[in-house]
Amino acid sequence: MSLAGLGFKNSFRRPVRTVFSVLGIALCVMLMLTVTGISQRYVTVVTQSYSIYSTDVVVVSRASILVEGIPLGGAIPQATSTLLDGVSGVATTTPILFVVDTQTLVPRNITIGVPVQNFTMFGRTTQIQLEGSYPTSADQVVVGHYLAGISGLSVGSTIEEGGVSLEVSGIISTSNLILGNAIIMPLETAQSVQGYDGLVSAILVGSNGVPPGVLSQRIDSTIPSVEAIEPSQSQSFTNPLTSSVGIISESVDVLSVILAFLFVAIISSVNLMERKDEFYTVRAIGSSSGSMLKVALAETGLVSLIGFVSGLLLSAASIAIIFQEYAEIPFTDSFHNIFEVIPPPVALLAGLLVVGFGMLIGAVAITAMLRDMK
Amino acid sequence: MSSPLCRLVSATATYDDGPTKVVAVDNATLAISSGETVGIVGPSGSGKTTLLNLLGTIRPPDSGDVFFQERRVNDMHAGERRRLRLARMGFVFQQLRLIPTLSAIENVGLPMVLSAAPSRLRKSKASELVAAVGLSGKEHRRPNKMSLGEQQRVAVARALVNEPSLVLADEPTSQLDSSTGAKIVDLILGLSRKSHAAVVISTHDPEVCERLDRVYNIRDGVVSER
Repeated sequence: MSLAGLGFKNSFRRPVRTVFSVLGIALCVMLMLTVTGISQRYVTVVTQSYSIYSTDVVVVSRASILVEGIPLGGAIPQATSTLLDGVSGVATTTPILFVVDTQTLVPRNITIGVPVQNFTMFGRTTQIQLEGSYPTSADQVVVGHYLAGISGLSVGSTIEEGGVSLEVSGIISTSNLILGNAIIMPLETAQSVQGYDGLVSAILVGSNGVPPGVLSQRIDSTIPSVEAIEPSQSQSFTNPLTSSVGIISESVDVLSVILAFLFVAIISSVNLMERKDEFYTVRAIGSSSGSMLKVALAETGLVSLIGFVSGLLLSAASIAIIFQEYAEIPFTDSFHNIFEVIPPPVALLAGLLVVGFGMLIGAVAITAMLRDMK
Repeated sequence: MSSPLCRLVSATATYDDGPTKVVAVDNATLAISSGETVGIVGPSGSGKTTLLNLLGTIRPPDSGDVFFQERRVNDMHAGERRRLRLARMGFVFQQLRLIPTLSAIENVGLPMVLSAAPSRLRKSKASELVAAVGLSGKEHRRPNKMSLGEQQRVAVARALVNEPSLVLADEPTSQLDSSTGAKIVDLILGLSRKSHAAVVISTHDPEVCERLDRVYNIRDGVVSER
């Protein structure tokens, strides 16, 4: 038996109370991790739903309205790419065309035109499952699965766009709302069928290490007819949503942490204080302050640790149930493991907070007792 | 004549009882030599426990001096007094004060855990003492599964495990019937004699006093040799 062993044994002296304190801590941890996990996942999903590319800087017409980085209205000459290549710090340029169908009250589809070699770029920001293949010729397109479902399209189907017959070479399944409703085709085809010859909606600019803020300023001053924007600045739709979710999540987290602290504080101090006589005895025999501290830390640390681990397991279970019951996508289809929902740094921080505070309470209680014993 | 193991010189100890100060030990002077057995006799509330606490350095005197092997205890800081108690003294408390979550053998070995003795040595020493107090086969029982007499034996073994020079026993027979009490005193005296430890026993049992080398009376905090 060691001093830590003595502390561990003390933890199970009153099993019912220990179980209740473990349960209390576990519920607080569960609340904290479940809310954090779900809200962070929500933010990721919302962000992914509206982000179709990742780049350092987006160059658009000054007449464009940007919704989640997608320029609506306004166009710039495709030749702007050549001007951009001359700006110091520019590594790559990708012209892209967005055309939203405005023939109906609710847009039926979105046409996206990108150079053939850039089709794979969409998979960098959101998970995409491709049935069939990406276009290899000017008369091929891929269609988002929502649009394909509504329109009864499948791989090999033919669609008419701007009087041109196009073959569906692939269907992409994605949680991204824009791509799910899009017809994506080679840039030249899109320009031709939509009447945008020589024009693009935006040029995605990759930097060669220059910070995006600096690069966008350089572009603005070199080419006055365009506007260079960092993508994060253009998330006008999702930012308010995600920031509100973040605030709610943080508030619940703070409340859960306070509750967990109160649980640990009350239970640990009651557990330790009721054994004041024992600590007096051990002190009288000749125990050092350090030895008594070890006993208290082992005891409070163990209860907090078990509470935290139980809370982690409970939060995994509760997240799985919530997704299974209330989300359309089953948990197992959405996540490969629980750490996708509860990021390890968040779990680690919660663990450190709970266990650390438990041990701090133990240390404070025992220090108060030692002061009385002098 | 060799110097005493410990002594009190005009030691006074008081405690607060509400607004009044109660003198628990009043100007006590006494000396205990190595290997000797000494009784402290007096009625309840006479100051026996406070006197033992002064000898055991658990509390310093309000005035006067306490010496252990001619070192003035008053000058020692709390850590030094603690180490002195752990290494040189053994305590049998009035309420036994065994740790309820520990088995008999773990309770006996506790002072060795506190003094960071090697595990193997601790186990063998604790086993030896558990056997010596007649609890072989009950080593792994917790206090609540033992009789009061058995618990008292564990407390005696715990007091002796670090081979102290001074054993202080506070009314070790008060809760026991006379036959069990006599056996406990036998154990304390027998085991202490083997290790040449001095023993101070507070009691109001005349039969216990008869078996000790010297006896001090204490009444209202005033100590006198019988």
